[in-house]
Order: sequence, then C-alpha cells, then structure tokens
Amino acid sequence: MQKLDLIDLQRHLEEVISNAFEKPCWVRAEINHLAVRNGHCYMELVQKDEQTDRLLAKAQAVIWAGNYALLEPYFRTSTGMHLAVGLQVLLSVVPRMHPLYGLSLTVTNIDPSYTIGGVEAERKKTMDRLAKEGILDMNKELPFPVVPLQLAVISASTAAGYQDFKDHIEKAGYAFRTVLFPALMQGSDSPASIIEAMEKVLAGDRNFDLLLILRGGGAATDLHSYDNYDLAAHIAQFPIPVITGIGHHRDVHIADRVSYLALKTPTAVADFLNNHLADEEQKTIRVIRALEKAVQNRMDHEKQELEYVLKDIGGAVTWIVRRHTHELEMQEQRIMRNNPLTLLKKGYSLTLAGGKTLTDVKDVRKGDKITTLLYKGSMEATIDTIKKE
Amino acid sequence: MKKETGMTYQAARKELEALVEELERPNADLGQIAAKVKRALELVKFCRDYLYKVQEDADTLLHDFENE
Repeated sequence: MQKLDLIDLQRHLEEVISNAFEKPCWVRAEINHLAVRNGHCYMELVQKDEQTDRLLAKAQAVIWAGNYALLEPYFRTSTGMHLAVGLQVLLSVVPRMHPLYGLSLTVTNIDPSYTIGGVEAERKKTMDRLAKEGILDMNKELPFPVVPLQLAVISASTAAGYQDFKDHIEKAGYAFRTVLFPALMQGSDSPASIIEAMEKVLAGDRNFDLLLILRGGGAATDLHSYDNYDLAAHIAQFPIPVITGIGHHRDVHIADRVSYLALKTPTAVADFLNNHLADEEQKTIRVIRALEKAVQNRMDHEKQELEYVLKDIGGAVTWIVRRHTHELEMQEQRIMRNNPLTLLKKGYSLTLAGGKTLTDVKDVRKGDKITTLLYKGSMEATIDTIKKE
Repeated sequence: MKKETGMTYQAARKELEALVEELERPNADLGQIAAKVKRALELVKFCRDYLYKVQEDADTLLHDFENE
C-alpha cells in the first residue's frame, strides 16, 4: 500500500483543483460571515435550503486587498449597501487549494445587479406578507392629529440629521415638545434597536401625537434594516402616525412604505410639521375672522332693530300724549264757552226768577220779584212793565 | 283749592268730563258756576302737566338708553 505524506496529498489536490478550474466561474451564495483584515476581505459563503433554512453548503472565500479596494466601492455605489452579512451575492471565483490553509474561493469579480434583484425580490416577499396579514396600510389609515405638538423621535442622538431636525423645528417657533428615544439607526442590529425604542415610546406616561424615525448624516448605505419585516410590521401597527426621514434618495424602503408619511430627510420632516402647523393656524384664523364677522353682522342687525323699536316707542308715546292733549284742549274750549262769567264781564247780565234762568217774559208777571246777576254783585227788582217783543 | 296729591290722571280726566257736562246743562246752578269753572281749569292744568311729564320722562329714558 502506497503511503503519502499529507503535504503530498494536499499538493496533489491543489494541482487537481487548479487544473479543473483554470477560468473563474460565477457562484451564487449568501454571505454568512465577513471580516476585513489587513485590507483583505475574508468571508464565509453559505447556501441554505429555501424552505427550511438548513445549511446545504459552506465555503471560505477571500477578496485580496488589491481587488477589495476596487470591488467594495463598486458594489456600494451600485447597490447603496456595504458588502455585508446576510446579502445574496453573485461572485466570480477561482477555487484554490492551499496545502496549509485548505480550500478557498478567490473572488475576482462581483455582480451587484444580482444583489439588487435579490433585495427587490426579498422586499416584494416582505410586502406580500404584510399585505396578506392585512397590516400594510394600517398606519396610513390612522387619523392625522390636527395640531401634532408632542413628538417622539427615534434617532441616533449624536447624528447630524437629528441636530438638523431640532434646528429646523425650533425655527418656526411653534410649541413642539420632542422627546428623543435613542437607537442604532444603521447595521444589522438596528431593527431590534429601533423596535425596542418604539416600545419605550408606548411604555411612558406621555401621550405622543406622532412618532418620527430619523436617520441622517453619513453615507446613504447599509439601509437594509429598513426593509426588515419585524421593523416594518411594528411601524405598520404603531398606534400613532409614524413619519420617516431616513435620509436616502435612491429607493423606497418598506419602512417608508408602511409609515404614515415618508420624507427624504429629517429636515424635510421638520419643514413638513412647521408647514402643517402654519396651515392649521391660518385655517383657525380664517374661522375666527368669519365668526367675528358673523357676530358683528348680527350685532349690527340687532342694534338697527333696537333703534327702530326705540323710535317706535318714542313715536307711540308722542302720539298718545298728543291725543290726550287734543282732548284736553277740546274740553277747555267747552269750559270757556259755558263760562257765564266771561259774558258778565263784558257787560251782559243774567236774570233769574225763582232761582231759574229767565229767557222768556212769558215766565213772569207784573209784580214778580227777579234777581239780576252782574259780573260783580247782584240786585233785586220788581217787574213793572212786560213787553212781548 | 287745595293741591291734591296722589290723584291719578284717569281720575282727573273723569272728574273733568263730569264738570264739563254739568257746565253745559241749561239749568246749571249758577251759584256754583265760578267754583266749577275754576276746578275744571285746575284739572286741565293738572292733566297738561301730567302729559308733559310723561313725554319728558319717555324722552329722557329713550335718550339715556341709546347713549348707554
């Protein structure tokens, strides 16, 4: 039996593999582990069973420093993501066997479009799931608060984006109260961190009007978190409207799709809120003006009516007084007409016989006693002669 | 004749009416004519003053009300 030293066996394998793979081949795989040392990028690539998630294959791979310096920026600018754990990648590799380090795949090229397609497919799957569960539009269907002043903000406390937001929101001078709930806004741990912060927002005593999820500053990369199902499901089912300002321009993430409103940047969120309040203020002012005008019109009308009523009262009094005055005048005239003293004063006199006014000589005889009244005093006389005419 | 206090306008008008009718009767008691005429003219004055006061009070009230 031929006995080989290990080094001989390894060298043989090295030769066989080298001969079998003279040209690179394209391989689909998921990055399971990634570390950069001395500029070289060491990865563990895996393939999982699509249904069960069980590992089917695993291999070591390396991008040598010279190549990594070119491939990483190319991948980043094409996909908007760092080459990172969890990504599905299409790599051009040359399998190499090293007697000491074993089998490794040397990466010579990468096809970012495959990853983009994978992300898109993953996104679509997540969207379909959210839609199927009936929660996709839940946050959008919430009523938007008329005057949203109590703001819960989830952001990295040191991020430039949060500072931009604070500067902008304070500019207009509305009485916003913002409370920051710090969270990791980037990287594979960020979905869990953001969800934890969301739970803190709800756990407190404060009733918030809106939740703002802000991420700003730094390169618009590694936003994979914002396509995460768990985060999306939490945003969709959050009991108050969520506004996202994740600070990217490239494409729409699922977190944006399920939120009440998605804006490009934290600054845009601040501007939106200030404009919203300004609009509400204008609306309120218009209503107050209309109300004031209506009240004024009504008051004017009532005043006019009252003036008419006062005039009517005045007119009625005058009319009654005039009528009574006229009646009095008539009576006064009657008194004056029947006042015999007026006639006596003028020299007429009144003659009485037996206490009755004498108007006809038929009523007296010769020798009767009569009394004649003058204006001043009276005199008694006896009739001497009577003339019929 | 003494100044009567508490006499109402209505009572004054009623008395005046009666006096005028008495004065117009053909066989009025002449002995009392002078007194009755005097009383009637007094009542006329009372009623006139009363009406003047009513008009004045109403004017004052309405004027004050409008300037409030």
